[in-house]
Amino acid sequence: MNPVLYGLDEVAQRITTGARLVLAGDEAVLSKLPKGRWIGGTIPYFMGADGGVMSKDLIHVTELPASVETASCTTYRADTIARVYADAPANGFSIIIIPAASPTHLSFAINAPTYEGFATSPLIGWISGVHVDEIGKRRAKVFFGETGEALEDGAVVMQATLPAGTYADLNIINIFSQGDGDTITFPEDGFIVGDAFINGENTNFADYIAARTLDTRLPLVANYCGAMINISIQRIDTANRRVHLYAPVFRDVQYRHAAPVGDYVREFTGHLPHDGIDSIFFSCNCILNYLYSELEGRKTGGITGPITFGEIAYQLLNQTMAYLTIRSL
Amino acid sequence: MHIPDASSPFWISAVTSERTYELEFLAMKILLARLRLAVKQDASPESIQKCAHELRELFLKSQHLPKAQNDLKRMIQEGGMS
Repeated sequence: MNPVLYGLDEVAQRITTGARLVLAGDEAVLSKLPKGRWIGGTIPYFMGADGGVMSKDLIHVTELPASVETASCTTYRADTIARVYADAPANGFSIIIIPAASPTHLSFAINAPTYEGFATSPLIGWISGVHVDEIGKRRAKVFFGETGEALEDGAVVMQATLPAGTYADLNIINIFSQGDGDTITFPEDGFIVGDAFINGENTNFADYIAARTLDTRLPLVANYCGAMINISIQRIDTANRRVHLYAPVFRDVQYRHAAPVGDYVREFTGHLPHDGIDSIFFSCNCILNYLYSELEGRKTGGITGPITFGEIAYQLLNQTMAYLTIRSL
Repeated sequence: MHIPDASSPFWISAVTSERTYELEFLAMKILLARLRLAVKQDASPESIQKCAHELRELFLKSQHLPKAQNDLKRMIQEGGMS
C-alpha cells in the first residue's frame, strides 16, 4: 500500500516539480501550498494506508498517473456548472470538488441530471467539509491551485485526457440496500421535506419517522436500474415537522428505508470489486460511514481517499464510496 | 458494437418500459433510471423522443467500453430484438 498522506513540505515540493495533484486537507494547511497544477478541498478526515484518520496537518494526495496525457484545471460557478459534462474530455475523466452548503453544491445536487451530456463522461468527486465540531462555525472551501484562490462557492475541476486504448471506469460501493418496508415518494425535489407519500398515502415525513422510530443513521435508498442510490437523513426539525437531508430527494422516485447492516468493514470488504483494488486510481468515502461505522483506526480493505460531505459519481451521492479505475481496452 | 438506428423502436421501448436488466455500466443504470422517470412525468411524444435520443447518445459515446457493449447486447436480447 503506497502512502497517500503527506506533510505540507512534501506536498509543496511535489507541486513545484509540476505534479498534477488532487488534494484534500484542512484549510490551514492547504492555504500554505504554492501555486501549481492542483485542485483541493477542505476536510480533515481521510482513509489512509493505516486506516481512518483525522488530521489537520496531513494532506491526502492523489497524483494523476503518467498515462494521463493532458490535464487542465478549471472553476465553475453555480450559474456555469451545467457545462461540466459538455466540457469533459472525449476520452478521459473529470474530478470535481464543491464546498458543502454552497449555492453550487445545492444547484449541482438538484440539477445535475438535467445537464447537457449528463453521465456521458466519468465525473467523480466530492463535497468538501470541515471538522464536525466546526460545522456551522467555519465554511468548507475548495482551492484552485493555479491561482491559489480559495472559494466558498463554486467548483474546481480537473479534466484529464487518456490515450486511445485506455479508459476511465467509474463505479460505486454501497453497502446499503432497500429494506422491505414501505415505499416512500415525495411530491417535489428538495433537501428539506415535509409531505411524503407512504405507499401512496399522503403523510408528514417527520411524523412518519417518529412514529416508526426509524434509525436515521440508515439512508433512504432508491433503485436506479440496479444502482442503489442513497439519501442520508441529516436531522428532523420536530417543531416545523420537516426532515433535512444531505442530498435531495426527487419527485416520483421510489425510496425505501435501508435494510440494517452489520459490521461496516466486513460488509464493505465483501463489496470490493472482484478484480481487486490495485488499479483504483481515486476514491472517496462518506463522513457518515466514517462516523457511524467508527472507521477511525480501521482499514476498509486497503481503500484510501478523502472522507467527504457527499460523494459525486455522475450525480451527488450519500453514504457511498465512489472510485475511479483506469483500464486498458 | 452495432447500435440500433435512431429510428429503431428499441430506444423508445427502453425508456418507456419498466423491464429490468442486469446492467453493468453505472452511467447506464443512472441515466436509464433518470430517463424513465422523465418519461413518467412527461409522456408526450416529444419527451419520449428526447429521452430515447439521450439514451442512444450515451451508447454512441461509450461504444468502446466493454460494460456498455455488454449492457446494449443484453438490452437488445432481453428486449426481444436479437
